[in-house]
Amino acid sequence: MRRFAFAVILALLMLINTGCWDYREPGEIVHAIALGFDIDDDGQYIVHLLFPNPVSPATGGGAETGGSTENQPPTVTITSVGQTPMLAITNAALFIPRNISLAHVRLILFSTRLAREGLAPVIDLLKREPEIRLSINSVIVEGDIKTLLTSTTPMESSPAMGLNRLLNLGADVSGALFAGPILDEFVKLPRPGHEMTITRVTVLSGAKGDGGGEASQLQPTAMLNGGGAFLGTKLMGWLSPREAAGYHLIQGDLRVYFKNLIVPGTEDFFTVEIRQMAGSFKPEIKDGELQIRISVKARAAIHDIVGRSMEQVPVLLTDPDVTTSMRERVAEAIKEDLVLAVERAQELGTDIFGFGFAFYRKFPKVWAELENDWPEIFKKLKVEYEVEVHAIRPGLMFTPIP
Amino acid sequence: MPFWRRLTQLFKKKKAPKSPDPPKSPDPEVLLDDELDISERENIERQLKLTGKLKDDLEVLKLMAGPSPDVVITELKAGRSEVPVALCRISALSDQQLVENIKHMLGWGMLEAPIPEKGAAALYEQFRTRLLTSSEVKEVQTSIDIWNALAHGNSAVLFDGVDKALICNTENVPVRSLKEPEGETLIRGPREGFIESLSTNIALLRKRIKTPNLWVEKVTLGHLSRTDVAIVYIKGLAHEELLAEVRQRVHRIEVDAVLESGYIEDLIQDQAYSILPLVIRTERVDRVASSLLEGRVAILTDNTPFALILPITLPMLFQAPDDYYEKVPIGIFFRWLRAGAFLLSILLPGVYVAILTFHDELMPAELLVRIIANRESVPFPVWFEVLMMEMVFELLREAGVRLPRAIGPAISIVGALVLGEAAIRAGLVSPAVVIIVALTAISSFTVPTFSFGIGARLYRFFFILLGSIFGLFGIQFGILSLLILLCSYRSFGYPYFAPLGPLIVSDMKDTLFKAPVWAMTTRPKLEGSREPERTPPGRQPRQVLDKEAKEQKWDLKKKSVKTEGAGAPPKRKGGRKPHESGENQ
Repeated sequence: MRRFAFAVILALLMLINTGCWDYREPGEIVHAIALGFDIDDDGQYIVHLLFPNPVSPATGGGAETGGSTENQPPTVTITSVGQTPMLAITNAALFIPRNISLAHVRLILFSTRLAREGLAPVIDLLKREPEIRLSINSVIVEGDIKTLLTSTTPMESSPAMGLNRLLNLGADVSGALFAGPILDEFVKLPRPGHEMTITRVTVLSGAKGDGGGEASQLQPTAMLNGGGAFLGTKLMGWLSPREAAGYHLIQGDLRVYFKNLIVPGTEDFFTVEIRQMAGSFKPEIKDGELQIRISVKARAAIHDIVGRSMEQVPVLLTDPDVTTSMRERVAEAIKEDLVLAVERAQELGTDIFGFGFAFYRKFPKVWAELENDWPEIFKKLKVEYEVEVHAIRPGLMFTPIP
Repeated sequence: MPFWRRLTQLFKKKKAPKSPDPPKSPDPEVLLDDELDISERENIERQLKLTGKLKDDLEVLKLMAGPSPDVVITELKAGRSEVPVALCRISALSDQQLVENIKHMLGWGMLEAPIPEKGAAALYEQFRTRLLTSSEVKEVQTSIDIWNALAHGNSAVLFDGVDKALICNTENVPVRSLKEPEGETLIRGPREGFIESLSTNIALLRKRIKTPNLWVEKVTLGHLSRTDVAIVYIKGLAHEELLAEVRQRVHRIEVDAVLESGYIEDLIQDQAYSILPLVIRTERVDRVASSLLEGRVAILTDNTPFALILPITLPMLFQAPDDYYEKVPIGIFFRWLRAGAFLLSILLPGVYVAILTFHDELMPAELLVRIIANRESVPFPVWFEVLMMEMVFELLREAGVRLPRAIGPAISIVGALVLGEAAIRAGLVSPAVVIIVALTAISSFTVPTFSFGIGARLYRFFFILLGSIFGLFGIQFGILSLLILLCSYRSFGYPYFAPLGPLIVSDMKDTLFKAPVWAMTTRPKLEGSREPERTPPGRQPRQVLDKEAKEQKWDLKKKSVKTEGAGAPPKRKGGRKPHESGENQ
């Protein structure tokens, strides 16, 4: 009897613990898949919410029932304004007939203007809001977010999904600064001597807004274009794609990266794919002077060799001297990119690489003295480079085409 | 006297009049009384003894059976002294040829035989010992025993002046031929299944297990149906405690009739209201045989092809005979597949409802968008939609079992086309739900034991309700309570969740995995521990590298090794007689 009573109590506990009031019919919810944040001249926050349209034939809804849903677009972008970012989102409920769920937001877009004024209020929202995941991507948009979100993207059902895929897949081939989870950037905020970077996306002329036009004339709507370097939550300036590649080389998370170089001693070009890169840096104090030692190891594969004469390629890859000199040339090219990235960051005065954080971890006592004027120290920090290219893979062509 | 007891006095059970100790048989004329109820009739019939006067004895038999036309009594005169004799039988149950043989012997045989003495008793003795050409002869002394014999298709010979009757085996009870059991088909394995005859079923088992230690205990259950029930086991392998328990439970049964082994299952199982089966009901002979070889007990019932196996464990319900006949990796794969399908069949609809209504963030965005868009026109809440479609499927399944074969195609058209396709087109259900219902339906049929699949189906509805009210938390609660329930069950005192519930590592070889026959060295620890070894370890097949063993000569006629070499040849069971080899099903 006692056991039975215990079971009944347990079952009743389920009633109050689970919250059956959380029951929500899927038809009552609309899931935002992208959030765009902007700010207007009055300092009001603008939020663009991109929803997949549940009644559009393109998403599979309403197709069988016919009726008036045939002309519904696959996605809907709603813009709303509010005093704070959260208010802007909740204000959208005034004209959206369903509950807004942020659980499936896949991409956060910031306008350049908002980034320059500071992302602090938005980041605050993103970190507090329980529904939003911190494993999603974020970008800074150069151009109009609304135009980007409402235009039709080739090969994709919605521009946000397209951009998301571009960030995840396209970026690591192009060597542009690619997105990681926003949490990876946000954790840098409280760290000493480590600043955020966020991918920059440029809206192209292909983005027409309002559904885009004829399918045959579809053009790419946005392209990856390096990234933004922050100081705190404020955008300080841009890194070009090449500098972004240098940045990732130092971080050690670049996967593949193409370079077009001249074969030493000739006038021929060769395109090389650099991969299996292992980049790292070490803080050192040498004779009382701070310095960073960056070391990058990589392998290279030749993709093509283009001779000036256009008839035949004179490079003999069976000759060890030639391959050695080519390897050295690749290493030199990698170093050039590293230098570019470091110099650009020093010029902007933001320690996006986390050099300061490395000093803080390795020499905590020294850091106490550096902490206050680290931005100034960083600008003049001495950096040493070690680049090693291990092997060069010629493919199946050792000798030129006769 | 408390009120309720006084109340029960009003509805007193009608009890059979207590018979005074039966020293004398009652007057059979009482049976003429139409006022006698069945229990009173039975009571009288039980006490009637043969008197030795043929006329009276036949009168008793006629009074017992009434006007039934199939009871045939032939009166003859035997021998030169023309002793009146009678041959009784039930015509449709007995073999005409055998009956005629007996009749011939009674009539002509007795005339031609040398008769040393006169008198009915001598004649009876002469007939019993010399002339009777029946394969099985018994002597009985009461009318009810004669009747029991007749009901089994035997014939009874009564002599005037002898207060005994001879029962001769003339059994020819109509049975159907052996067929593959329709409920439990398999690709590889024997095709024959049990039929509705107990003796045939026991013979089928004897065919597989030829040791004399295959013991059969016969019990007659049901005071009206008098159904023969056999408790079958391997003496010395099944635990005596288990046998005592089985005997005690079977002998406790007091019912009027046992028409199917389900009656017995209901009367002997440990949990009265368990949804899941606590004994296995099977038509497959090989399945029963393999269970017997593990030290389990089978109960066979006359008039039904379904045998009961006990005690059982939950993992046994996932084991199909195919697993043991197929290659090992294939067997393991299918066993895992079935276990997964079982989980799917009870959990999938509930989890779908829970995720869609409580935890939509768990679903990939693209999938969620598609599901939401697809059920945009569905006017019902998710839980109702799922419940409705599951019910529709159950309707179809039940209709499919009941409907006459001829209109089978009609129901499949209605079911598949009208309900599935039209319901989606009309926007009443979403395609996702149809897929889920179909998936659960398919997976619930992969369970090899049908009665287990039915039980699982009821749990599915339980999980849909839990999922729709409490979300995944409720599902988790349901799984936990189900586990606790399963762990608490016992099958004839043996833990139901056995090799997992109390963890028995050595039994894992036949639970999660299926070891090859040579690695199944021991029987299940709980059931077969009287004789744990099944096959000696280290008997895996290998190439003969030993020169001595290779040159060993095999005398094919004697089927044994001629020269006893140093090591027995590994590829064969050298010198072991077939019945000792512990064949593994």
